Amino acid sequence: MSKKMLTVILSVLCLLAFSSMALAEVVTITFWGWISPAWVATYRDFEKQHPNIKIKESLISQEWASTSEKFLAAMAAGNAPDASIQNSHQFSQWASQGAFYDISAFVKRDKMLAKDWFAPQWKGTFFAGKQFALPGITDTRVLYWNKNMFKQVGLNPEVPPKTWKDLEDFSAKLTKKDASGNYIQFGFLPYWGNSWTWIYGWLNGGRFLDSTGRKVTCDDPRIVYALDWMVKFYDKYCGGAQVAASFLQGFQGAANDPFVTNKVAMQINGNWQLWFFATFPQLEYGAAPPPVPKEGMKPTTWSCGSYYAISANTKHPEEAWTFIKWLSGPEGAKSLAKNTLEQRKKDWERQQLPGEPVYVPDLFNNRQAMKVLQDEYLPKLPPKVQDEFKLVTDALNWTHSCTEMGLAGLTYWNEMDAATQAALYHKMSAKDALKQCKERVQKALDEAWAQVKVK
Amino acid sequence: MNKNTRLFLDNMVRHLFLAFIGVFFILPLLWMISTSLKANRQIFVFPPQWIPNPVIWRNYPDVFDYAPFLLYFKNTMVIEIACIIGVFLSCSLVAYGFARLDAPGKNFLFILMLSTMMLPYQVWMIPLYVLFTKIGWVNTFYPLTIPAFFGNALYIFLLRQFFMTIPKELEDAARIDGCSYFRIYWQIILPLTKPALATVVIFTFMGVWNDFLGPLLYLQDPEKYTLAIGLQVFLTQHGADWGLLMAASTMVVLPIIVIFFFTQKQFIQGIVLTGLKG
Amino acid sequence: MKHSKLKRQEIFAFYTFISPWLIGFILFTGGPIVASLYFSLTNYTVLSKPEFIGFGNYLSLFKDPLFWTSLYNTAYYAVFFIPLGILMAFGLSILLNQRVKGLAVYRTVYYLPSIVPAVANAILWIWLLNPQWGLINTILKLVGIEGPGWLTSEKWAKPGLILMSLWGVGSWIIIYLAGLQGVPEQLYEAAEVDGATKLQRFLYITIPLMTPTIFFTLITGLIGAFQVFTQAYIMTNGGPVNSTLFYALYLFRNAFNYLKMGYASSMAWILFLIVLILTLIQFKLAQKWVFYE
Repeated sequence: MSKKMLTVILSVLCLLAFSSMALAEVVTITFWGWISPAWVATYRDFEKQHPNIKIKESLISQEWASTSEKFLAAMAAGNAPDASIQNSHQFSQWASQGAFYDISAFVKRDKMLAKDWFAPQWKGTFFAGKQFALPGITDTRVLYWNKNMFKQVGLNPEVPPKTWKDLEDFSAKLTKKDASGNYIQFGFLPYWGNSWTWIYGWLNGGRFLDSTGRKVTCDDPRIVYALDWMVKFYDKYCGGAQVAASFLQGFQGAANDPFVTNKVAMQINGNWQLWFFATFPQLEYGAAPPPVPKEGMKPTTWSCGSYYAISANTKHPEEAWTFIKWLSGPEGAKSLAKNTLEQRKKDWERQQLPGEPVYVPDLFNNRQAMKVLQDEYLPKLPPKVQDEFKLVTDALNWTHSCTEMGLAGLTYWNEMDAATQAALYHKMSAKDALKQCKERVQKALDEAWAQVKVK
Repeated sequence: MNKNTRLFLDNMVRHLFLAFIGVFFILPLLWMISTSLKANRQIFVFPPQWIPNPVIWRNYPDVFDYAPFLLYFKNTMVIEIACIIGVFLSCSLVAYGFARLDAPGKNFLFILMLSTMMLPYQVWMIPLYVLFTKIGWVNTFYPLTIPAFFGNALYIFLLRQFFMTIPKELEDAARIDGCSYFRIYWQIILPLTKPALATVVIFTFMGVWNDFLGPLLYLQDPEKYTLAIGLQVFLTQHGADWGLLMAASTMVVLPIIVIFFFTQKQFIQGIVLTGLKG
Repeated sequence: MKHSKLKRQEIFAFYTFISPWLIGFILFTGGPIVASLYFSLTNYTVLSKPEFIGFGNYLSLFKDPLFWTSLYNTAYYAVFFIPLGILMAFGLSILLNQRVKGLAVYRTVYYLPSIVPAVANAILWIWLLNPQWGLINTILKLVGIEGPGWLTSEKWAKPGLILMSLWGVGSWIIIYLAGLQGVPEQLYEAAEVDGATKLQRFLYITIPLMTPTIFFTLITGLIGAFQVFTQAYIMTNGGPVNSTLFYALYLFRNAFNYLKMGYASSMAWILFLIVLILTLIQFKLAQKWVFYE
């Protein structure tokens, strides 16, 4: 071999060596989310499966569902993280302001289909025809009932209320007062748990926004009927909203103990309750779809949850995409579940609870992820929890997304709460309260639309 | 009855009254400690169960499995020391200027300084963040420490009030003797206002110890986190683990209580003014 | 205006002494504050650039019923909390300012609510204020009063929060204690020799010499009360029926939840003006009752 040939071969080899080093270069992406040990372990699992991507995680905010001042500040300063967890409540407004990276091209390239995801939260990731996030963990709300309390008053403990009339009839039996007239036990409290007014409006077939998303329709007679029903329920079966509120005042924070300590027999609350109820082995409870206003109507519920979004000005969209795809998909689900289970085992032991730890998986919006979780963990659940878990998972098929609260979602949320309180406390009739809500939210919604940046 | 009996009764009444009111004040701490030793399923039971049963001692050591709290403690102390030195020096200097020296524009500047406390922080915290980003201080301790060396309106105002109560004759005498303003500040004013200075130090310490928003905004790397952020590690999508959170919070709070208890002599029973020298 | 050499020295010294604050203001505080004034004249979502709209925000504010509600709620809070807080803190500090054994324990205990995390205070007080079983209403029942609904009642939610805030006056107690330490023993002794009663010593020595410290807590209490936020945020979320929707809470919602930072900034500057005017009035009045020497 001539010297020239050798030189050429050596150069080519060097070139290849250096190129492969460059190609194997490690990219670090910043992710703002949660920093509990289970999540941190999940980030490390991702790194093990993807050696050329490192995750630098940071805490995004101080509460699970609160707005991140940190993210807003970073957007203003131009140093937003590559990816982050966003809460779906305000997602559309932030997306409309151009905060996030359009992932439509990635979705198409990787052949991701809408049918691989549960529809309501998937739809919520779109704005103006572009897609800005992948749906992550979500939740659903169902009716829980306390079987012991049913037995006590002679109701069949295996039969949950199916209609609003059932709720009334059951409550008439379950609500009890003591000798001095103080309430010591309630059947049902409509505005307690995690139902809010939204569920009643949707159960009655109402719409909160028109199909364009630009017109507020909370004065829909079906929604007025729902709120009116809530007010009448409180007055007739609970001694009024203020009495009920007084009763509940001490049960702060978890707001679960009245149910567990046999003080309130029924509640509409989220799937996360299964996790909580599992730590009370003596509790006998059931879960059913939320009761419907009239026989024959179909039950529905609503979901919130988090989205994983890539920031608009990221320098590493490809790696960020790989990460959020993994995190929201079956691999991420497996990893997070395994890590959370480990944590759960330690907690179970520390809490000196009897028996095997009961691990109820989170709800993932990705169908395959959900299937993987169900296949692995459903059989391990105690039999009485299995049906409940199946229900909350199935609910993903007939739920509304909180992104349906529209572009001014948080204003709508606060105003709806204010209207409900005004009606419950008899400051205004349900009709007037909702009319006022409509006026205020419409104004905010118009402003939000006027300021849209993504067209 | 004689004087001693009267004194005794006086003290007894005083103790009873203070103890009665004190019960309300101590309840939050008792609740924290009680909760830190409880199983989560018992925490929100109402009426509250004060004695945990079973007692979960494990909450305390297990806290350290969740996050490197000793590291967070070290980070917090670094910021504490910087801030205490910074606040002590800058606030006392500025307060002396406002208290004792006269110049055109003084009143305007004093009101301007107070005004900075009147605008809610939420509306200028983002421009401030942008400023710190532009000078590259994000993800460092600088935004949490350097500003302390440039004064703090609240503490300046406090010290100014105390400085103004020192008899002017002391300083006038020193001026006549040819003392510079700085020497007066250092050798007369500071020693005579130890209670107020110690108060400012305690408040600064408290402020840094509990500050959450500052570290959240400016510290990205988990290795730089302070104790206040560290407590967030117990927050998951299933809510907070209250037992662990309260155990960690109790451990975070106890040092301050202990320091406060033992340093009271310094700032409560400080030197009492004795009037003019000689 | 010509200044003597001495006067010029003093002016130079003044500016040197306050230079840390002045420089800090120019470097760190001034810019962001001016920026927020500019934002108040814009529509600003923070996620995109601000759009100038002149005084639009201010005009909208005056037409916004929640602006007036939140301002009323905050003023209500301030009017009751400030005098009650000062009285309570001052009273307790007098009691604590004695050389009696065990007082170090009490002083620590009274400062505890300021040290303990806000969430612990919040939970405690929700229990204490429970209308049916809480300690407060139980005590009232012992004296024959039917306790109100506190945080569940529109009328009584604010008083409930004010009651809770009174427990946080630990820092004022510390400040008053520092001030009481500065009252010379000899003054009391001389007065006692002259035959002054305890009450007279209190009224004519203690109070006048404490006026600078009381003035401090009055001004800072005023500034702080108008920005009251945390309890309403954690405990009541502005309810029931917006009765505890404080100004700062509504401002926070606009700034971070509704992406209306411009609107929130205009709220901030209106608050600023109100507090500034009240403060200036207090400074003017102070000339009549605050004695520095």
